Amino acid sequence: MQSPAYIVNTGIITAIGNNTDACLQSLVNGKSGISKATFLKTHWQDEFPVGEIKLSNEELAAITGIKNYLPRTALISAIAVKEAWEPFQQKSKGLRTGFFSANSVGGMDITEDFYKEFKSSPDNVNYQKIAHHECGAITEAVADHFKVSDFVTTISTACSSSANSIMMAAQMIENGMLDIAIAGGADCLSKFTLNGFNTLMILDKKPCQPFDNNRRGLNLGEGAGYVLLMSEKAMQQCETKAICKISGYANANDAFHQTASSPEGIGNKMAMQQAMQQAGLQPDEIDYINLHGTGTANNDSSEGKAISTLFGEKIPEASSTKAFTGHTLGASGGIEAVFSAIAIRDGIVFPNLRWETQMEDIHWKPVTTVITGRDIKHVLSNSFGFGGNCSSLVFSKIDA
Amino acid sequence: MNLYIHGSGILSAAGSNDQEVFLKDAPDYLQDRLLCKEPDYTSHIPPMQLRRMSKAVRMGIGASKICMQNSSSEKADAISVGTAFGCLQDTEFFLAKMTDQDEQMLTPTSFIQSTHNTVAGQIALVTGCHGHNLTYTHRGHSFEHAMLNAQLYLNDHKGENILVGGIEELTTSSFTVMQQLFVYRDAPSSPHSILHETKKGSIAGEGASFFLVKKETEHQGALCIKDIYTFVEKDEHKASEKIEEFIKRQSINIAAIDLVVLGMNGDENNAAFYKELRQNIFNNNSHAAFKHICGEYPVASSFALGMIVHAIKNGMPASTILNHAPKQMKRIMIVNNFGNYYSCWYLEVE
Repeated sequence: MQSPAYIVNTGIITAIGNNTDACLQSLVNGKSGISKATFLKTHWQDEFPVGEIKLSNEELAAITGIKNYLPRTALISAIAVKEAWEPFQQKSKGLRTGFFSANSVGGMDITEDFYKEFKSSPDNVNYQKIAHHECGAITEAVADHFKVSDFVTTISTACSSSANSIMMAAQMIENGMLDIAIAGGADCLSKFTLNGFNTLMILDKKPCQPFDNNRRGLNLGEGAGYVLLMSEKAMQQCETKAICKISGYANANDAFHQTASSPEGIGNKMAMQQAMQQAGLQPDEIDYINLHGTGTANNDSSEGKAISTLFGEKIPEASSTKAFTGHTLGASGGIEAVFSAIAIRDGIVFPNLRWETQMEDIHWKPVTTVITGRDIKHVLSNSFGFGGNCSSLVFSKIDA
Repeated sequence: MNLYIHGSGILSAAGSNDQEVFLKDAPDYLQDRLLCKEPDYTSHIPPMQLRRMSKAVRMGIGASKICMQNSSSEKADAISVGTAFGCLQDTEFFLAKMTDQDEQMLTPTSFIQSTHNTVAGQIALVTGCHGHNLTYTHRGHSFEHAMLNAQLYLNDHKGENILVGGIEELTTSSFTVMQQLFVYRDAPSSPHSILHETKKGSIAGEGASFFLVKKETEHQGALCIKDIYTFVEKDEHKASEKIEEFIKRQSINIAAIDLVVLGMNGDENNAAFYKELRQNIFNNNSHAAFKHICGEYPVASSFALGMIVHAIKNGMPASTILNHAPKQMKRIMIVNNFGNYYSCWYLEVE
C-alpha cells in the first residue's frame, strides 16, 4: 500500500440538514426528518411518510449554480460535493482527483414524468428531457460542474451503491492511482422507488422503528453523502489533517434471494468479518456499528443475527440512523460514512430513534439515547441491498 | 495491469461463441438495429427460472455460463459487471404499469428485477457465488471500469479469479429515444454503410460478453490485458492525441502493433477521429472493425475483446479486416468510443 485513504472532509444533505453541521445537530438533538412529502407528488402522499429534503429543485440548484433542469439526484449530489470539495479545490493543483459516485435509479424523477408524454404523443415530446436518465449521466453532470476529470465512475448496486464507491476510491488511493477522491452517492425520492417498495409491502405508514420488535418497515428518504479522501501526499499539499482513515472494506454477496436477506445473514456476516479482517481488528475492538437497519422485519433480523454471531456477548454500541433520514438507497452508504467519520471526530454515538421493544430473535438492543464524550477508535458501517449485495466499511481514528 | 483471460462467453447479434458458426459468415443485413441472436438457453438455465428472466438477465447468465464452461475453472470467486442502462425491459414494464394504473395495484416482479445490479446478483444467486460483486453504470466506460475493478480485486486477492462482463439490452423505447437523440440512425443501414459511410448516428446493438480473469496463466497463447485507458473528450482531434500519448506510455513501437481493432460506427461525429487514427497514427498497421457485427452500445468494447479472444484460435474474421490481415496476433489494441467516452486497450498474447 502506498498510502492509506484518509478522510479529510465530508459533504452531506439529507432530510435532517443541508450540510454536515446541520445533520449533526439533528442527530444529537434527536430531530427526525420523516414527514409527509411536499415535493414528491404521488398517489401515496398521505399514506407513506418520507425523509424529504424540504427544498424545491430550483432552490437546490441555486445552492451550487448547477443547471436546475437536471434530475434532483444531480442537484443534491452537487450540494454535498461542494461542501466536501470546495475548500480544497484551489489547493489541489497537480494532484490527480477522482469522483466516485453512485445512485440506484439515475434520473428516474424526470423519466417518470417524461414517460407519460412519450407514450401518449411520441412525436411531440422533448427527448432532451431524458438525456440524463442514466446513472452515469448524473455523475457526469456533477463531475463537469466541479471540473473533476482524472477519473470519474458510477456504481449501482442498489442500497449498497455508495459504500462500494467509497471502497473503490480507497483502493485507488491505496494503490497510488489517485491522490484525491470524492466518494459517496446520491438518490432522490421518486414515484418509481416508492411504488416499488410499496409492492414489496415493506413501507412503514408511520415513522419507522429500526431494530424494534414491532417494526413495520422502512421510510424512503433522499439525500447525498460524500467523503473527501486523500493520500498522505495530497494532505501535505492541501495543508490539512485527517478526520479518520478507511481501514477496512469488504463486499460479499448473500446469494440467497434477489431482494430478501438470508435468515442468518450470510452475506452480512461475510462483509463485516472480511472488513474487520482487512483492518486487522478483532470484533471487540469495534466501538460503534452504524447499522444498515432499514426497519424491515427481514433486514433487521438478518443483520441482527449476523452481528450476534460475529460479536457474541460483547456487542459494540450500535444504531441505525435511518429513523432520522429514511432509507436513502444508493446514497445511504455515503451518508452513513459521513456519520461514521463524525462519530470518530466528535466521540458521539448517535441514537437509534423510536426504539421501544426488544427484538425477540437477538439478545442485544441498539443505543437509544445520544452518547457523547466517548473515545471512538473504530466504526463499522453496514450497507446491504437488493441483488444480495452486502458491503461493510471500517473507519479508524488516526494512530488508533 | 496484466490480467489474463481464461475463458469467454459472448452473446451478440452474430450469435454466441459456443456455436461452430460464430463469426464465420460476413454480416449481411439492411436494418436499423442488431438484436442479440439468443441461443437456446435450456442447457444453461432451468425453464422455470428462464421464464421469469428479462432479456438482460438471460443474456448475462447465458454468457457467464458459456464463459465458465470454456474456462478451466469450476466457479468464479467474484463478479464485476458493466452496464450503462441496466435492466431496461423490467424498468419500463414497471414504469408503464405505474403510469397506466395511476400507482395502484402494482406487482413487485419487474421492480425487483429492474435494479442495475440484477444481472450480477442473479449470476451470484444461480452459481452460489458469495464473493465480491459489483456493477458499474458509467456510460461508455461501464465495462472498462468493471475490468479496472477486477485489477483492484485481484491485487488484494492473490490467486483468485473474477468474472467480468459487459451487458446491454436494447428495447423498443430505448431505441426510439436514442434515435431521437441521434445516437442511432433514422434509416436502416448495411454493414458496408456502417464501415464506409458517415451519417448522423450509428446502428443500434446489444449483447453480453463475459470473461474469467486472473492475474496469472499457465497457458501459452493466453490473452493478457496490459493496460486500459479511459477518457471523456468532446474534441475529436484531442481524443486522437490522447490515444497517441497512451501508446507512448506503453513504451512500444507503433510498428510492432499487429492489429488495431477500431470501434468505427459510421457516425459523422466520430468519423474524423477514426480517420486520423488510421491515416496518421496507425498508418502501417492492420485495421479491423467490429460494430458492423455487434452494433453500437455502451459496452460494445466487451464484444471487441471477445472477438479478439476468439480470433486468437480461429483467426480474424475476414469481414472485420479493413486493410490487410495481421501477420500475427501478438500485440493488439482496441480503440473504441461511445459518444464522448473513449477507451483504449493494450493487449498481448503471451
